[in-house]
Parts: sequence; structure tokens; C-alpha cells
Amino acid sequence: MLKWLFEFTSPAKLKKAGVLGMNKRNFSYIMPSNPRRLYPLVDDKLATKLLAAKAGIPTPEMLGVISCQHDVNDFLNIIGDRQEFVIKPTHGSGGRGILVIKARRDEEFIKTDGSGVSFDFVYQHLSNILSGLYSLGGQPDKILIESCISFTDIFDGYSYQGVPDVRIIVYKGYPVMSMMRLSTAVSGGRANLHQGAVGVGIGISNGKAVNAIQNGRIVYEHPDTGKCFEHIVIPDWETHLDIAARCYEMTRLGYFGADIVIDHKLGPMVLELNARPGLGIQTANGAGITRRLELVDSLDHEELPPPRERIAFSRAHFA
Amino acid sequence: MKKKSVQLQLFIIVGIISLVSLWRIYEKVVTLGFSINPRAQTTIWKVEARVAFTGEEKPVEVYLTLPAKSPGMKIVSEEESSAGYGFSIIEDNGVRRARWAKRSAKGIQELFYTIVVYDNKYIKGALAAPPPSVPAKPVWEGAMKMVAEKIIAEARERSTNNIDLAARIIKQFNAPTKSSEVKYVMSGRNFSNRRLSIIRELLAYDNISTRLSYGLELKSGRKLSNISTLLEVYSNGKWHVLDPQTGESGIPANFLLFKRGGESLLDVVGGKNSEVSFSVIEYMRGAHSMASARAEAENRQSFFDFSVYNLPIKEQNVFKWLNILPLAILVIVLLRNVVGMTTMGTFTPILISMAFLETTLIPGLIYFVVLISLGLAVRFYLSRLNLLLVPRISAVVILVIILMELVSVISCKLGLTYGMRVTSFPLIIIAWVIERASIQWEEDGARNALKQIGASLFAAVIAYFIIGNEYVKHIMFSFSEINLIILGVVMLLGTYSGYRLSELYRFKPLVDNKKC
Repeated sequence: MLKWLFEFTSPAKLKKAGVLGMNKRNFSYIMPSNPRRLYPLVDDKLATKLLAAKAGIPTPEMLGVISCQHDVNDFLNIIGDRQEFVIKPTHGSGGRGILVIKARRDEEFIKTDGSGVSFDFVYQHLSNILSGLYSLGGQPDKILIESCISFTDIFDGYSYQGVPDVRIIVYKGYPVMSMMRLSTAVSGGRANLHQGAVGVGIGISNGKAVNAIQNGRIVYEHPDTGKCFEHIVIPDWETHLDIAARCYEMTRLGYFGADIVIDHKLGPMVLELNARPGLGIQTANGAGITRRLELVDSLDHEELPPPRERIAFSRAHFA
Repeated sequence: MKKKSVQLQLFIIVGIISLVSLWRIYEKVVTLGFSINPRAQTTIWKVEARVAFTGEEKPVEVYLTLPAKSPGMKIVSEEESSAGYGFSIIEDNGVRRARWAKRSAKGIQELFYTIVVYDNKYIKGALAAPPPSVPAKPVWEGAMKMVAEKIIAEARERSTNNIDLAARIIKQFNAPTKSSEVKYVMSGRNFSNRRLSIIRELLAYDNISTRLSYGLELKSGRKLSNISTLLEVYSNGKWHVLDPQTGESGIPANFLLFKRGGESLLDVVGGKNSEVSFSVIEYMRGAHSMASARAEAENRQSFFDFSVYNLPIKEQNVFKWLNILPLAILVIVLLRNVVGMTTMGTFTPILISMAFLETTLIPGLIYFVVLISLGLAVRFYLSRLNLLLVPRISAVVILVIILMELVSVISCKLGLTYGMRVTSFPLIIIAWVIERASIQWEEDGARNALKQIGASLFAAVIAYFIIGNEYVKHIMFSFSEINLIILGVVMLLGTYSGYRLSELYRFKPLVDNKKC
């Protein structure tokens, strides 16, 4: 009857494993190191993008911005004769409101799943974004139109529909933990762990897979494609770490997660930053994050070392 | 470090407010007689005497005998109201009389005297007095004389003193089956006042002095009260009170004695058609509402002047509500930050639980589930129409109104009276729950959405049991200082950075098997 009790572990064990809990994440890390005034830099994708451009951090190419209903008429001018593009709300979260067009056929726009939508549908979608349908709290929003990333095919078979991305947690400028997020049929092609996506822990030192989870429980192969995660190695790992680390200089956020995707021509680029990254990354890595954060805290330097030195430190100390 | 000093500050603040509130609670219990038991109630009686007479354009003087101050009865307040009359209370030999006076009065005059009393205990009520004159002995002859003597003799045989004797006679006259002797003396005068007069005659025949006292039986549910009569018997230098119905001695509990022998109850000089009528209103007050009177008795009135108990009752009731909310809020904080539950909207569960109070739990749960599921069904259709946010949520609100109406009408037809109370659910909150649930349903799947609705309901039920509990409500209102302690606890929880209960489950695989 008390069997359910064994589904729980003890706080002592969690502490020993260095697991970071939600309360401690908020109280000891997010609140002290992420000042409120910096939030708009990451909550607004447009602001992040402009900032990244200034800092020389690669992001998907911006085609245009639509900020009021009147400008919606410019839409066709903005996309010109491009076949592929992405429509994003600047304040959307969790992938809400993102429309990816892969091709155009006659009057229709073809989505990633192969279905076609009319111009009227796209027009309606643009109006919805402007009115705040996808933004948190429903405040009026802007529309970002980006060129489509041509995703590398090295991860084919690891992801169902969606695009795999790599999230790297950066604390005080040091990359501390990372994972790859793979969408599944359950997650509806989206890469959020709580929606049922797979999280594959990636070693900071070598960019190789260490462990994988889905819905908080360990898995060994992709539930839809059956491909084993064991052999995942992230190419250009140093560049990934470099981009993530440099985002610290760019935003000055003490604790954030950088979501990075690989374009097969342009290499790794930042999709977005998250000032409140989730804790599931620890389960994905099979390791607590606390000791790594404490190690970074214990560093005593007058001036922040350049990104390259920080990365070297992280690669040397974090598995 | 800066963080440490901030935390120290917090601990000091919480420590101070906790100490202050504990001290206040101690004070309330010890000095003011606040009780933890909500049923510890003091009955308060408001008695209003209305004197009416017709003035004759002459100087008027009105005397009304007032209740004597006795140890068994405490007076909260005494008030009089009259138009243009001079008022004074005259105290003479332990008898208090109200005196109204006016130069000239014409037409129907009304004078009011109001007294509020509590703690009306049963008391012996023997009153020492010089021996009265020997009562006039009734002159009886023949059969009447014989029968009377027989009644007295029989009663005297079984009694030890005069009071007991009187009680025995009263009992004989009030017995359901009366003896032939009693029937004989009662013949032709079987009214209660007659009965009382024959009892007095019998006692006088035995040289026992009696007199009548008048007062009010304090009984609830009576707007107009008749004056009741008690019999007083003189024995061993004291007047003893006897109930003429039961023969019990002593002043009954909840009996307000206006006049004991002596002067008449009402004297009006300069008016005619005078009469006095009484009305009695009962208040059941929690023990704490009497605290003001007790504070006055203890010379601690200032303690009371700045408290919520001095507000009008209506406002007090509002605060009864508000004072209990911090406890429910504390529960929400615990559920979210310590247990790790995610509910729909931070305080939505509290609002739902307040609705449950109106509907009671089981019907409330049913109505909630019905409203949400019907709402969700229609909302799913709305989402296909691609409406913009504000019009869409407005549509849901209107929808909920219609659904509430529908549910009310249907359950009324089915004879379920609870159905009408479905309107106590907060309309806007329900609409938002539907809106959020449907968005979550679409994005995170049905399981996550239902889990959150379930968690919200669970929190609402817990909150319901807390705010619906009579004891909790009473304690939180009587000792509203507890809210200061809760404030402290909530602030301390704001610095709680330990694991949440849910995380013990969530991170178990991390601890158990490392790496694959």
C-alpha cells in the first residue's frame, strides 16, 4: 500500500547528487544574477537578435519586422520571392505562433508537414500575432520574419518532425551544462521537455551524449525512429560553447540558457535565449548542476576572463 | 555579505511580529476572555420598555421601576429616549426608578427605556428586609375554612419551612391532577391570576407574608413580552422568590426582575391611559464580542478602541472573511513552493473554494466539473474559428454565464436547490480557467491540462476545509494577530530554497541509475 512512497527519493540523496531544485534555482541563482531590467533583452526575440548582430553572434537572417496592422500589407514585399521563411511572434514562448513555410506552390504556402495554406490563412496568422494571441499575457506583439535555417542532416533520424537544438546553460559566463532537445510525435514536433520531447545530456568537455530522458525517465533510443542516442556527437562543439559564452557579454544575464541550432552552410547560430531555463537538463545529464555552479562561484578573478579561457575552464572541469 | 544581512533583517522582522502577536493573543485569552471555542457564546438580551400615555396639557411626571443590579446579571448599557423630557434615575433603598418629567404634554406620549444585559444566571435572589406587617387573615367559614385548613395542614406536614410550604401549595395548584380540595377552592376562579391570589390568601391564612414581583422572562422569538409575576415569600428576615408555576425558589435564569414589592412598576402623574409594554431581543454573541464590556471592567478599554471588534457588525463580518484568507493563502504557498504543485492561476483555488462554501462541497465539485467540461467543449470549437484573444475570452465569459443559467434551470427542474448557487462561482475566474486549460490542452496535451485542473481542484478542496471550518474561522477572527505570524511564515517561505516534494519524485532517476 505504501509502495508509492518508493517512487520518492530523499532530499539528502538529491543534495548529495548536487541536484538543483526550483526554489534554489530561483532564490540563489536567477534572482541574484538576472536583474529584472535585463529580461526584455531575452523575452523579445527582436531585441535579442539586434543585440546579437551587434555582438557578432550569428542568428538566423532577419528578413523583416511587422509591427502594426498596416504593415501587414508589406508582407509579400518582405518575403520577395523566397521559397522558405519563418514567421515568429517576438514575444512568443515555447514555440507558440511560429509558422515555418518550406515552399510555395502557386498561390499556396507549404508548411513543414507538407500541407498547404492560403495567403488568407497567413494574413490571419499575422494579424493574430499582432493582436497578442501568442504573447504572454496577451499584450500586442510584433512579427519577426526570418529566413529558414537549412538544418544540418547529421541528426536525421534523431528527431521527429522538429528541429533538434542544443541548449547550453551559462552561469556567469561559463558554460556549465548542456543538452540536445529532440522533438517526438508526443511533443508534436516541438522541443520542450515538458511536452514530451527527448533531452539528451551532452558532455561540456566533448560534446558527446551522456544520457537521455523523456518525460523525466531514462530512454536509450528515440521512441519514434528507434535510433539509439549513444553515438550522438555535436559537431563544431567549441563553436557552440563559444557562442553560448559570448551571449553572456551580450546580455549580462548571470544565468541563462542559450538555444543553438546548426545551419549546414552557416554553422551554429543562436535561436533564442532563455532567462529561466528548466531543471530537466540535470536529469538529461544524469548529474546535478549545483556543484558546477558553486565551482564557478568560487572562482576569484578581478576581471572576467575572455570567452576562450572560460570555455577551456568549463571543458576541463565539467564532464 | 549583503544577502546575509537582508536575511537577518527578515528573521528579525518575523521574530518581532511573531512576538507581538503572541503577546496580543495571550492578552486576549487571559484578560478579555476570548475563547478558542466558537460556540462559547454569551447571550445578550436587549430589553426595551415602552411607556405610553395620553398627556393632558399638564405637567407630567413618569416613574418606571428599573431592574435592580444583581450579581447574577450584568448590564452592558442602559439608554432612554424621549422627546423633550428631562430624565434621571433615582436610587432609593436599592430600588432604582427612572423619572421622566415635562412641563406640559399633549396627545399620545411615548417614552423608551432600553437595557442590554448578559450573563443572566440563576440566583437565589433572597433579599433581606425588615419584617412586613402581619398579613390580613382572610375570613373563611364553613366548608371553605375546612378545606383551606386541610390544604395547609397537608403541605405543612411535608415541609420544613415556610418557603417549602409555599412551594408545596404552589405545586398542588399546578399539578395536572388536582386534589378535590384544590378543585373546591379553585371553583369558579380557574385563571392563573386567581390561582395566585388564592395561594396568597392561603399563605396569609397561615400568617405568612407574601408579595408579588414583576419582571420579564427573557425568551427569544418574542417581539412583545408580557410582564411575568413571581411570588415572594417572607421567611427568616428575607424575601424569597418563588416561581408561581413550578414552586421553584430563586430568580430563574434569563429573568429580568423589574420590581420587587414596594413601589408600583409604573406611575404616571399628569397623564391618562398609561401603559408599559416590553419587547425582548436576543443576541447570540461570540464570547469575544463581549470582550469590550469585559475590557471596560478591567480598565483596558484602550486596547479595544482600535480593534476590528469596534466596527459595525456588517464590517466585522467582512473582516471575518478577510481574516481567514491568509491561512488559505499560506496553504497555496505551501502547495506551490514546498509541495511543488502547479495550479491554474495562483489564487484561483481560493476563489473556487469560496464558491464551494456557498454550494457545499459535493454539489460544488459537480458543478465545477460540469461548467469546465461544457466550457472546454465549446471553447475547442471557438479555437477553430481563430478568434483574437480579447473577443475570444469575452465569448468564453458570456458562454459561462449562459452555462450557469442552464445549469441553474436544469437543476431547479430536477429539484436540486443547490443548482441556484452555481452563480457563486467567480465568473471571470471560471472563464480564465477554461481559457488556460484549453490552451494548455492544445499545447501540452490533455494529460497536462487535466493534471493542472485536478491540482487546482485539490488545492481548492483543501482551502475549502480550512476556510469552511467554524473553529478556524472563529480563531482567525478572534485572534487576528495570527495573521501577522502567517505573514512572517509566508515571508520566510519566500526564502525557502530547499527541494520541493515533487522534485523528490522528479529527480529520482537521476539519483538512482547514473548514466546509460
